[in-house]
Amino acid sequence: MVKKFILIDILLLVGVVAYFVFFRTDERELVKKQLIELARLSSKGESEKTTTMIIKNQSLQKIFAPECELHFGINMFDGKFSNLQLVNSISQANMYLQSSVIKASDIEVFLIDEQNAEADFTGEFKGRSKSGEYIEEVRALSAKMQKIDGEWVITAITIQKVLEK
Amino acid sequence: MSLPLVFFTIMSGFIKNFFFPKLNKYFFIRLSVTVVILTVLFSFVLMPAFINGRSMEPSYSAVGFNFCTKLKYKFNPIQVGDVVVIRYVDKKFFLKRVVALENDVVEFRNGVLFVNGVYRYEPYIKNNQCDWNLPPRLVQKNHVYVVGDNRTMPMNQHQFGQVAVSRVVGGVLW
Repeated sequence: MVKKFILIDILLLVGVVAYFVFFRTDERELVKKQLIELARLSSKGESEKTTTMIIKNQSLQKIFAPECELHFGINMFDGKFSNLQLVNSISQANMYLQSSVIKASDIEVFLIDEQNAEADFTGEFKGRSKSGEYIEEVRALSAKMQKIDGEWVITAITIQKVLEK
Repeated sequence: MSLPLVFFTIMSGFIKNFFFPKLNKYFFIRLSVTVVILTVLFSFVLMPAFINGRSMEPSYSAVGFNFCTKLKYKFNPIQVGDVVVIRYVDKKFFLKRVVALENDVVEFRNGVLFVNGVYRYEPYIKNNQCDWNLPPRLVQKNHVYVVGDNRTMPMNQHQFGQVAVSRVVGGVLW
């Protein structure tokens, strides 16, 4: 009898974990996955090889829509850019860095319709410049996403400070 | 049998059952129910929070423990003077005091807070050695303006400002 209850508890636990890990493939999860992927691909490893960077850039290009709007509050990053321009900008920024880790967390997805979604999330950037300077920034981000050819791509990003003085 | 002995026998049985329970079906039912209740309680009602930072001194000491009451602002609006828990990033939260609400204009003149051009009395600030100067700022829609109680550090070293209401996780229990 006791063994039966232990087994039921374990099965319940495995079921809950399996549901969250394998079966939650609704549209919100797909949007989340894209944003997490954006953060992963924009990061740079300590001794990352050029070939790795090229492969990552190719994947990164697919995450942005052909035309993407940025609202960063800085002239250089305000306006419309092509996905290629964005990938080049990220590569250029990474050239000044020894390493960087970007994390997307607290992602909240709002599905507007079958083809459009918006997501609010927190972006955390931890990096070290080639001169050895450590940089740490946290920003509140808001992204507009569109489903093109079955894939969620970013059409706009707005960045704000979490606490704006 | 004397009364203390009866008491001791009952208590020893209770303690033994508490620490070394019989693994029967009732134990697993109790365990499951307890886990579910505690998970719900500490995830959605009272979030445990370790305080580590001087920004709210002297109201809250630099190291301490409290609970974030997550349901507080589900039923009541945020009010000026409330101490709130703000989600900063991932599992990092800030404890701050609300000094202004949306559409208010906030400014600091020589360390003194003015809201909509009117001097704001802040009894929770002790030993004020603040010399902050911040030009007027309009608090955006769906935002609140939060500042820590400890204003002894330079302005650029203190995390404060307007924050989206959606980032306010709740209040504090005490």
